[in-house]
Parts: sequence; C-alpha cells; structure tokens
Amino acid sequence: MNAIELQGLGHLYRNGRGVRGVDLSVREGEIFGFLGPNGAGKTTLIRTMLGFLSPTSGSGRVLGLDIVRDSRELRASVGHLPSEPALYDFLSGYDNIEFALQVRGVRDRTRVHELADRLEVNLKQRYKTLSRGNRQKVAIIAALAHDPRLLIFDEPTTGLDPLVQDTVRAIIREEQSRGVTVFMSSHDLAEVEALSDRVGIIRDGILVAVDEVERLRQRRMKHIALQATGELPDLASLPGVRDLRRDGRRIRFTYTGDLAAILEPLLRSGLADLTVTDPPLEEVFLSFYGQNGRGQGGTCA
Amino acid sequence: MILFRQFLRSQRTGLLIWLGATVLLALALAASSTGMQQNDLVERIATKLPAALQALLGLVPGLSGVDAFVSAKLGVSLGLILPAYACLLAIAAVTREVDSGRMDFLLALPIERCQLLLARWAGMAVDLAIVAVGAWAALVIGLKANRVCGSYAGYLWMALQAWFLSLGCGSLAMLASVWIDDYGAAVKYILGGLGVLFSLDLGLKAMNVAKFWRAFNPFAYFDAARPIAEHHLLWGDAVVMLATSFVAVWLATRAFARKQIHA
Repeated sequence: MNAIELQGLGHLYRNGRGVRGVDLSVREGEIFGFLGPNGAGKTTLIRTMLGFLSPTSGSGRVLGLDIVRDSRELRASVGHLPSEPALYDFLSGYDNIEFALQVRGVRDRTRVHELADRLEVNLKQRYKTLSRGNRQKVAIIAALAHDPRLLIFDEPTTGLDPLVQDTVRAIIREEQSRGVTVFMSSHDLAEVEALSDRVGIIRDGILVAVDEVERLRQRRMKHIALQATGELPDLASLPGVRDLRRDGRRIRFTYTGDLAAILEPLLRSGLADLTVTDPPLEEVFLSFYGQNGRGQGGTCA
Repeated sequence: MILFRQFLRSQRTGLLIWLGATVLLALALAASSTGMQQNDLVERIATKLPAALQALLGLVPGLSGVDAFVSAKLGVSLGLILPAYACLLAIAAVTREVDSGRMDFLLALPIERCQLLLARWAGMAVDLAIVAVGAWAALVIGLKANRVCGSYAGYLWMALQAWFLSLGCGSLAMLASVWIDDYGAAVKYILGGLGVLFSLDLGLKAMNVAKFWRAFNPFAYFDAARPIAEHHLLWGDAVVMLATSFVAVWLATRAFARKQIHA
C-alpha cells in the first residue's frame, strides 16, 4: 500500500501561487525527499496534506485516509515537524510534549526520555529560554513521541549543529527500519541525497520530477575552477563539460557526470589549484530539468 | 478538557494581571466610598446635570449614595474593562496562535477545529467570571472593612451583567479574529472597534436615544445601576448577550473550520 497517494492535488493562493496538479505516490516504509528552492511550494503541499489548507483541486489519501474527510484520524498517525516550529513559550519543553501526548491519549513517556537523551536536550527548561537548535530538538521529540506511522518533516535539520544533524538523520533511518514512512522536505540536496530512497522536485508549485536518488546523484553537476601548470586537454570536447571560460591559466566550467572521469586527465596535466563546488540547488534543477521543468528528469510516479 | 485546561494555563499570567487590576480598583473604590457617603458629591453635581447624563453616571432615583457611587464607578469600569479583557482573550485564542505559528502545533494534533475553539471560548468565559466575581468580592470586602453598608447582592448582579456583556463582546471578537492573522492588527482593530462602540453608546445615551436604536450595540445591553436598584439580573439583556455569544461562537467555529492556516 502507498502511504501517500495524491491525485492532481493543488492549493492555489489568491495571487495565483501555490501548488497545482501534484500526482505523487509514496510507498509505505520509504524515505521520500521533497526538494525545491524556497517558495517552490514544498510547505504548501505539506500543509494541504495535513488539512491546514484546503485543496483547490484534486484529492489525496494519506495512510489510506482521505486528507479532507478523515483529517482528524489521519493526524493521529502522523508526526509533523513544521519548518519553523513554535511551541508554548511559558511551558517547559517537556510540558509542551506532555500536552500533545495527552491530547493524543498516549500514556507511555519512555520514548520522550529516550529521544531527549539522544538529542541531548534539557526538557525541563522553559521553551522560551531554549536556543534555536534546542527548540528544534523539542519539536522533533514532539513529532516522534507518539510513535507515528508517517513522519512529515519540513526542513528537519535546520538550526541544528552538524553532530546533532547526524543524530537526527540516524533517528530518521531507525524510524524507517521500523516501517515508518518519512516524507521530508528540504532545500539541502546533500541531506536528501544522504537519507532518501526517492526524491521529488518541485518548482513554481509544480512537481517537475520524481526520481531515484541514485539517478539524481549520477546526473548532479559541479562547478569546477582550476589553475593549470601544464598543457590541459581539450576540455570542451569532454562529455559533461559546459560553460567553459578561460582566463589565462585559470579555467572555470560546469561539469555533469562522474567526477573521477574528469579529474583524471586534469591531474595528469598538472594542477596548481583546484576548487570543486556544488552549485545552488536551483541551478541544479534548472540544469537537470530545463527551464520548463520538464527536461531530462524522471516521471512523477 | 485537556484543551480547556491548556488554554486556562496559557492565560494564567494575563488573568492574574487583569484580576489584580480589577481587585485593586474595587478596593480603591471601596476605600473612597466612605468619603462619598459624607460628601455625597456625585449626587450634588449630578442633580445639576441633564437626566441623560445623570444616567451616564449610573445614578438612578432610589439608589443610596454608596450604591450610586459603586454603580457609577465600578459598574461603568467593569462594563469597559471586562469586554476589553474578553477581546484580548478572544484574540489570544485564534489570532495570536496563528501569528506565532503555534496553530501548526495545535492543528497537527488529532482534534477537530471546533473542539479547539469551543474549549477556548469556555476558557474565556471562566476567566471573565473569575475577574467579575473577584472584583465583586474585593468590593464587598473593602466596603465591609470600611464599615460601609451597600447592596452587596445587587453588586453581584451588576458584576454578572458585566460578565454577560463581556461574553457577548468576546464571542464577537472571536468571530472577527478568525479573519485576522496578525496579532498587532487584531488588537488594534478589535479593541479600537470596542472603543468606538462604547463611545457611540455613551453618546447616544447622552442624547436620550431609545434602546431600540442602539440595539446593534452590545453596550446597550449593560446598565450598571438597574441590577443594584432592582436586586436582580436584567434577564432580557443577559439573554440577548448570551444568544449573541452563542451565535457568534457558532459562526466562528464554522469560519474557523474553513480557515486556511498559512505558514
């Protein structure tokens, strides 16, 4: 069974922005990464699935339940982490989580303590006095504490230091191994690559592609800048090289493909300096999927 | 019940502030009521004013000096303070939650939106009752401490009349707040609107305009002096405010169920 099944789902704002015609299936037990630049419609789609926004078109089923008609039942089995979590300032982290668990009718608090230990957060501290990262940790615990069947995480590692990010990723993988489905939105390509089985890419409110992560990885482009000491091969003729610019011995170009394949001839020629950078995500999208968003990408299945 | 308790808890500090302010006001008025009995200043000034303005001061023929003083000072104060507090509670129930982003946390829970709103409405009613009864209790304690006799039961009816008014105003504010997502704007517009309605009713009363023409205004259903003079609640006015409150909260739940909660 698919955990998420959307058919032509859309929510359009009065200004015409939003998401439209999203057809998407997320398999049960899968980690699905939802990528897109800021303002692309990631959060709008999540809010529509959770019933915060009404669909203006299409329909959707989450965990077999209709997102409009059965919204309450659906939310009982979902753990949601918003992109900017806000809990009650005057309560401690624990009291905020306790309130949510009481409403959900959950009595067992073992998971709360276990997650608090792993994330190293003091739940007794007032939410108001917590740092951004610790607030995020409390919100993550609140989303996980009731053992949901589906996790909907909107930018889960924002504001966390790299070590804690690793812990959160490990927790997400463990949840998956327990059969939990994870729908995770992010604008961090590396994070989605590291965690997800499949990736959906949204641009201007349209789901432009859904693909296996491996396929995306193979097609990922890099910006390469180098300074040669010797004679370089004819770079323009190499497959995957484009936007080649020369400034004396300094050369810049964009490369799509296996990095080892391009580095080998360059290293043979002799290099004084080499910088390889990830281009901004939007640029990757534009390159991969073309300006119309229907380029070389996979299909929305 | 959990949602109701949680709302009361979230409003605890606000409740203490408003309760403290009204209790202090009631105690101060009780302390100054002895001077009023001796001087009867209000009555002497008021007799020189037109009848409509006498009514504005809460002076009704047949009221004793202290009863007149209480209705004019505490009655009129409660008639404005409680509705203002009710509006702030109503704004806290919806707009502030949306504005702060906490509505996401609440609506991600397996609850119906109407449950959330009704729990908050009930919380608002309880908080307002605590302030109204607290003000009355402080007044009675203050008067007794100063050995001043007054219509203590009548004052309770007056406080309850103010509670009904505030419940009506709060429910209307709750309805309005469903459409306002910005906390600052909600405070400005809703409290501003309340101020306009209060001033309008005062002005119309001063011009001896009949209640029929003021019927749209909730403040037309509050009279501080009559419950003291007649020793009972003005049931007609109370029922109108209660009905207004039920209709407003019913409309608010319907509107809130359809509300789009933007990020």
